[in-house]
Amino acid sequence: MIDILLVEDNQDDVELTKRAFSESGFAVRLNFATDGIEALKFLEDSEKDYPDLILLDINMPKMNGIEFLSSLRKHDEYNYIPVIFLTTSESELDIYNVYKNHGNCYVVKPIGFKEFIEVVENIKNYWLFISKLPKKQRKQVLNNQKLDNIKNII
Amino acid sequence: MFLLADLMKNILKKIGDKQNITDADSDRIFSSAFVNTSLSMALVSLDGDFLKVNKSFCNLLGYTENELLSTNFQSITHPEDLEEDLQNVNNLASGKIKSYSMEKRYFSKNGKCILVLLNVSPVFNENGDILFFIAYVSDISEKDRLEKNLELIVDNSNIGFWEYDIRTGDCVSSDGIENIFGIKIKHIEDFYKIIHPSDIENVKAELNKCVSNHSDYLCEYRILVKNKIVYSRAIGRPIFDKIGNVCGIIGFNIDLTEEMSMINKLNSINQDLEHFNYVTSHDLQEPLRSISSFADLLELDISRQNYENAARYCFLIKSRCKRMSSLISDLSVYSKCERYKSENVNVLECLIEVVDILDPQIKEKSCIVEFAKRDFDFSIFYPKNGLFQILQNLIGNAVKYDGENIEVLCERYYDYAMITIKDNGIGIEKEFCDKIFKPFVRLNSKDKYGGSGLGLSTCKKIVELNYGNIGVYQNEPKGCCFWFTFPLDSSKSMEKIKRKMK
Repeated sequence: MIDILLVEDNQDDVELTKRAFSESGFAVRLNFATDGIEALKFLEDSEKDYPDLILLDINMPKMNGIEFLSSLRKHDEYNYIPVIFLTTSESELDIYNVYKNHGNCYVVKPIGFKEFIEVVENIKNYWLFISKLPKKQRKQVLNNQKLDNIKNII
Repeated sequence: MFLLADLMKNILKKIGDKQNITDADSDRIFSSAFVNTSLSMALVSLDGDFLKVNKSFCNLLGYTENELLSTNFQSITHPEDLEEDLQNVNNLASGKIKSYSMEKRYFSKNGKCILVLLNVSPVFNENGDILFFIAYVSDISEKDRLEKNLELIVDNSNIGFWEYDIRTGDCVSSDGIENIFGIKIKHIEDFYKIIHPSDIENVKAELNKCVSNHSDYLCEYRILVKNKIVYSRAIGRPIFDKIGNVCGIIGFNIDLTEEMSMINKLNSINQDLEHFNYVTSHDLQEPLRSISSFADLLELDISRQNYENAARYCFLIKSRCKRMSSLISDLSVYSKCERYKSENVNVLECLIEVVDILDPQIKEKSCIVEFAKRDFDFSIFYPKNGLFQILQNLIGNAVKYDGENIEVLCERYYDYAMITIKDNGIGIEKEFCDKIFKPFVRLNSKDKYGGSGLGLSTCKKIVELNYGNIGVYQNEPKGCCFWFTFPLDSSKSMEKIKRKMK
């Protein structure tokens, strides 16, 4: 059983993510935060029992996902946590900023629920792959597909 | 101005004395010089008749030699210059002056006015009597025209000229530089003092490059003038001393401030548009995704004959449709508010209408909205829909975000008025006070407070389109105060404010 922190302000998406995890049979413990500030507070209060994976939205009130990622990566203790972006935005600037700040994956939220389950399957595979690595190396494993696209554009 | 012909004759005489050149020789040499020179020269009698003219003089005026020899200088001189010229000739003849030079106008054969610089000196015989005058003429009309045009251009533009002596650091500059820089630059250090700290290294590097590479100097930088930032572009080139070393730089500066402020304005409008585009697509996608996903879930559950969540999913789908629809209508208000027409509108009537509309929410939250009627009882020239939108958004927000006591105030000043809406609701943290006027920026989740995230940006747009300002500060001990201003009374003060803003 792995611990996941879902940082998401949209309650619909929270519900859909929960349901998608249970449908896919990927046993996870989901924790929630509604924006970057709450997420940072959650980590502060975790007392070293940090989540294994963070699923992060970009557009949120107060502190957005990219701002949160940049503070996370600067932190001495929990900067290793892999971060998967799960967002509506398809903006090139957002994708660029995510990888610039050492986000691991960039996933655009799908329109339908069946596609949502596929996303969760991919997250599961990604986790199975990086969980074999020592913690410190995890944040370096990127899902480079989007990044390559971006590099071509830039 | 020395007199070439005279000097030449004297020199020839001196050389003649030394080298046994006779007077006849010297006359011949002078004649040859007189005929062949490209300077325009004429020998003129005491009465003003032309005795001898050279080719260049003929060419300048367009007459043949014979034509000129049969006339006098008076007949081809511009009437306005004639008196001064004759006075000078008289002074010369009476021995009051030894020579004279003046700017004067001739008429050429085809009637064109030609501005020349005229130098005249007398030639004496052995007894000291004047034989004739030598006139030496240079055409300055073209040069003068160019100079005048250049002056005109320079005076009417933001250009200043300068020269910088790299050995002493001294600078000489035209008035244009003072206009741009705000002070007179006498030394390079005066100049360094006013450059924007972030640009100074670059300016020094460019100046050094110009000196060491003998290349052109081209640099753009900011100058701090009386707490204002001026953008300027400098263009220059090195100047060299006799032995070919760079001794200074000469150049000019152009004021780019207006251009830069236009560019900055355009950039900021573009950024706003980009942001708007970005968030619009994001916020419109969101309810759509919910609708489609919950429909999928509903389908899935029904196929498993699990009806436990069916009603809730239906409710969510309907509610997201409503959210989508209100988002679209808010978007249409946001983009429509540019087209609102101004009319005479009574502020009090508008305020009462808004409070009526908001009555259900006010009752639901059981809060109190207070205002002094007499403070609002006046008319302004303003878009009625716009004022209504602003008041509805601001008072509506105060109600929505848990204000219990909501106070609406109006203060009137000389040519504008300010309305403030104070509440004691959840308030806004200081660092977000500027951010919240951007489209789709929200500080709280939609699920708790609803709304499209367009209300305040719509207010800001309307207020600014009508020459006002809008802002928010924190209320003590809790809540916040939103304020906005608008011009009072008619188009007169609007025109004044428009001009001020320009």
